Formats: sequence, structure tokens, C-alpha cells
Amino acid sequence: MITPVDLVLILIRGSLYVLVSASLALLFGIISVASFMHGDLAMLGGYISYFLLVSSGLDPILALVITGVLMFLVGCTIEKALLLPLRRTSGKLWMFNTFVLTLGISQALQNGALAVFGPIFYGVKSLWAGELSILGVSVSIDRLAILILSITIIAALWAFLKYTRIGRAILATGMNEEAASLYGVNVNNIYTLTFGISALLSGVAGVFYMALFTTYPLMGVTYNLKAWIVVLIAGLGNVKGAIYCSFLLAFIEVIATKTLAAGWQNVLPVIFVVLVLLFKPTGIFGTEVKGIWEK
Amino acid sequence: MGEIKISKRKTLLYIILALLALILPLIFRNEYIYSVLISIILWAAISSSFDLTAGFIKVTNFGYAGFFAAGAYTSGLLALYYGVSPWIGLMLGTIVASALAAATGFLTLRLHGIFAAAFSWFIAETLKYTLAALTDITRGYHGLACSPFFPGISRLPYYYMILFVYIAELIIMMRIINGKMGFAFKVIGEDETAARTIGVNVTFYRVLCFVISCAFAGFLGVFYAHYYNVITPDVSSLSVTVPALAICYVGGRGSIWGSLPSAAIILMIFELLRPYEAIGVISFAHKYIVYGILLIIVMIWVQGGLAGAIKKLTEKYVKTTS
Repeated sequence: MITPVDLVLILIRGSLYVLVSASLALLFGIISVASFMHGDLAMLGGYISYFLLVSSGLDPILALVITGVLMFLVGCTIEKALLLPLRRTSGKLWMFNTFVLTLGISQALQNGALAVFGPIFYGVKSLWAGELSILGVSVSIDRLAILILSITIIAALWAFLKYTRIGRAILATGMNEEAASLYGVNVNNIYTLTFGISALLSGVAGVFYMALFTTYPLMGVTYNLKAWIVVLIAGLGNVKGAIYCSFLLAFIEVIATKTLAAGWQNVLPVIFVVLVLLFKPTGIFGTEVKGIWEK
Repeated sequence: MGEIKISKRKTLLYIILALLALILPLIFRNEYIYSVLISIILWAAISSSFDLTAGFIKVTNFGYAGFFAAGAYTSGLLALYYGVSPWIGLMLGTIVASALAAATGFLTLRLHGIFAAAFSWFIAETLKYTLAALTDITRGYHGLACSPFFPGISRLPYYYMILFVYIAELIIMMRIINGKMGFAFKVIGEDETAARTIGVNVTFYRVLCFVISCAFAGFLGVFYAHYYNVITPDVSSLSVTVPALAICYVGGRGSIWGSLPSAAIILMIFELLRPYEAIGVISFAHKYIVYGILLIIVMIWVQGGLAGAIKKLTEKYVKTTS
């Protein structure tokens, strides 16, 4: 039986997963990058926002925006410096190569953070203090704000992709790279831009994790796994599906925590992924993105 | 890549290397040196078996650790609850790992590239969380104690054991690669459609390659369990897959032997850093950055890894001299 408490929990948990999963799905769908570093990008975003909030005492919204911009630049730099040279050398094996390369970057980032910041948990008390009562459940303003912000950001992403020239160029590149480049789209720039946007979304998610929980060097492992669970359930490259499936994962987790003995709640989502891959490898939404994994 | 021919001169070189490895521990009579040598050969053996799928049928087995853990836990649990000797455990662990690999292979390898990698990764994750949750049986993260292979505290017998295992593994793999099976693996890796056209049963050979690789993983997992005497569910996590993958890629995909120099170099770097770690100049973390940075370098600039670089150099040398 799902109580209002569970419902609120599911919504908030889902909104935490939605940004990282959507950004991972965006990479799959548009530029066929199988990223293993999205959790670590979130970690980086968490650290940046922590230092912005604590040492310079910025307004949370301003800190969020600055973190987003910085993470966008980080993403663009990584793409230009590391993925672009890789793209020149790998043909058919591009997706696999990105998988291994981003694994390398992820190891470097995780252990780099461990070396620089130490095995310490960084966190703030709250972004905005206070709480509200919804459906008879008391929810902190932070959680509510994060839910609203996540949905707003996703809506903004959707509008950007659908209604701006650059957004349409990105979608066109995802559909057919060669055709897009024939129509005058600079595909190299689209790759950089997409990776930047994806890093931005993950970084912003990192701010939320930092605000609700803490930031620590190895947090990327957990969030990377969750993002992959969502993306595999939804079908690789299906951004819309990833948004729904974030909430589905949250639902599974909340139910598992409620009904199963301690320790088993981690097993259920992973088994679910195995089952989805077994019976419907294209994901429960049956992606129509064609051929991205054959590249 | 993939062109491995054994000439007479090379055979002589291998025999000299093997003899050197045999007398090495007699020159350095030191337990610390033994432990370093054992871990170098163990990781070289692990990465060579990883190489069989990564380098030939071009499936990066992200769930490698799962099969490693299947072997380790099978033998460890049997030894603890039924008093089964680790020597029988070696066999049973290998069988369980191969069976799991066969099941996974049949289910995943009809899927392509990234799906197969993700699927086997999630098999490993499932195993890890299950092992962690079954605290009554496996003791979860407290670790499962495993009985040693040899009585006494010296590591010397383990050195000879892993050396023998590694040499046997290399011989088996060379036989496979230079035979009909190896040809099928290479063709599938290069171009699947072409392989189908010339009548290679793609699914069968892909699964076969996967199972052979994972059987070695299970065997080495059993060795790992009874050599270190303790295993935690983390043997099924990325902390095993990442070193295996990094050493394999740095050594050069599709070379099999490249893992040995690569494991030697990487683990030597770690050992050289150890004194600084003790006095607190660097932390534990710095060591694992090495894997990350080497992977980035190898992926972008030297895709052939050590073996590829050496091959290029010798080709250049041969060209300039002749």
C-alpha cells in the first residue's frame, strides 16, 4: 500500500535521479557516448557549489547558476581535449572506446578528489531553511525546491532542444550526423555543446546531492550506477524514457526499502535491469533511436 | 594486432624468460619480493584472460569481476562449510564460473557491443549485492576467511604455483589463438558480417571465447581467495574489473603477452610509491590515479598499448636496417 509519505519520497528521489539520467541518455542518443563518468561530474559539481556556498556565502540560486556554467565549461574542455582526439582514431568501436576512456577519466577524477579533498564528507545544513506540509507530510523546503528546480531544468532542456536553432541542430545530429553536416551543421561543435550540456545537468544534480546529503570523492560510483540503471531500463538514448524511469527507479527503491530486509534493496533494481535486458533489450519504452549501438 | 606467430628464436626467448622466472626467487630470498612477484604474475594472468574477449571478439567484459568472484566464493564457501580442499575448489570454482559465463554469454552475446558489456556488468553487480546481503552465509563485508593452499607462512610455493598457472594459461591461449578457433575469434572481432559470410558460427564462437576467458577468471579467483585468505563482496565489483581492464589495455589489446610488462610496470610504480605513502607524502588515492591516467593516455594516443608500441618500434628498426 502506497501512503502519501511514500509518494512524496518517490517524487523527491526521482527528481534527484532525473538530471543525471537525462544527461546520460542525451549523450547516448545524440553523440553515442557511453559515459562512465557522470556520477563523478556530479561529484565535481557538488564540490564547486560547496565552496561557492560556504566560502563566498553566495545566494543558492546564484551558486547553482555559477556551478552550471563552470560545469558546462568543464564538459566542453573534456570533450575538446579528450573525446575529440579519440573520435579521430576510433571508427566502429567509438562507443566502446568512450566507455573505456570515460572509465579512465572517472578513476582519475575520483582519486584526484580523494587526494585533494581527502576522505571527508562535505555538506551544507540546507540551502533554504524551513519546511512545508503537503498531503499531511512535512517536507523541507530544500526538497521541494529541488523537485521544482529539477522539473524546471528538464522542461527548459526540452524547450531548448525543440524550439531553438541550436537545439534543433543537436537533435538533427542525433538523427543523422552526415545529413546534418550536409545541411551546414558543424558536427564537431555539436559534440562539444552536447557534452557541455550533459556535464551541466550532472553538475547541477551534484549541487542537489550536496544540499540534501553530502559530497564525497567516491559518490560518483553510486550515482553512476543509478544513472545506468535508469538509462538501461528506459532504453539507451531515450531522454523522455529516462525521465519517467527515474521515477520508476525511485518507486522500486522505496518499495524495496519498505518491504525487504536490510541489504536486499540494492539487489532489486539491479535484477530488474537484468530482466529488462533479457526480455526487452531496447528498454521498456522501446527506443526508436536507430543504430546508435552499432556505431 | 592479432598476428602471433611463434618462431624458433622466440621460443628460445620464452624458455629463457621462463627459466629466469624460475630462479628469480632463489636469487632474492625475501618474502616481500615474493609477494610483489606473485601479485605481478597474478594480475598479468587476470589481464591476459580479460584480453581474450577485449582483444579478439572485441567485447569489453565489464562484468569480469563477477566471474572472478563466482570462482572465489564457490571455493571459499565449500572450504568453509564442507571442508573441501582448495585444490578441488580450483576445479569446482572454474566450473561454476564457466557455467555462469555460458549462461550469461548465451543471453548477452546475441546483444551487441555496449549491451553485452552493460549486461555482464549488471550480473556482477547483482552478485555483489547478493553476496553482501547474504550475511549469514558469506559474512558480507566482514569478509569470508579462506583456508590456504600450502601449510606454513612462506609465499614461495604460491609463487611457483601462480607461475605455473600463468605459463599454462599462456600456452593454452597461444594454442587457441593460432588455431582455427582463434581465427574465428579474430574474424568476428574485425567484421561480424564477413565472419557470417565465410560460414563462421558467430554466436557459438563469441560464447566460447567468453566462456574460456571467464573460466580463467574463475580459476584465478580461487587462487586469489586462498592466497589472500580473505574475500569480500568487493571482489565482484569494479575494483577488480578496473585494474584488469587497465592492465590489459595498457599492455595492448589482442597481444596476450602485453599484460606481463604492463602489470610489472604498474605494480612496480605502486611499490615504489609505498614508502612515501607510509610517511604521508602521498595518499592511497594517488596510486589509483595511475590507472585512470594510463587509461586516458592509452585510449587517446597509443591505442595499441605497450605491445603495439613495441611492434611499431621494431618494424621501424627493421625497416631502417634492411
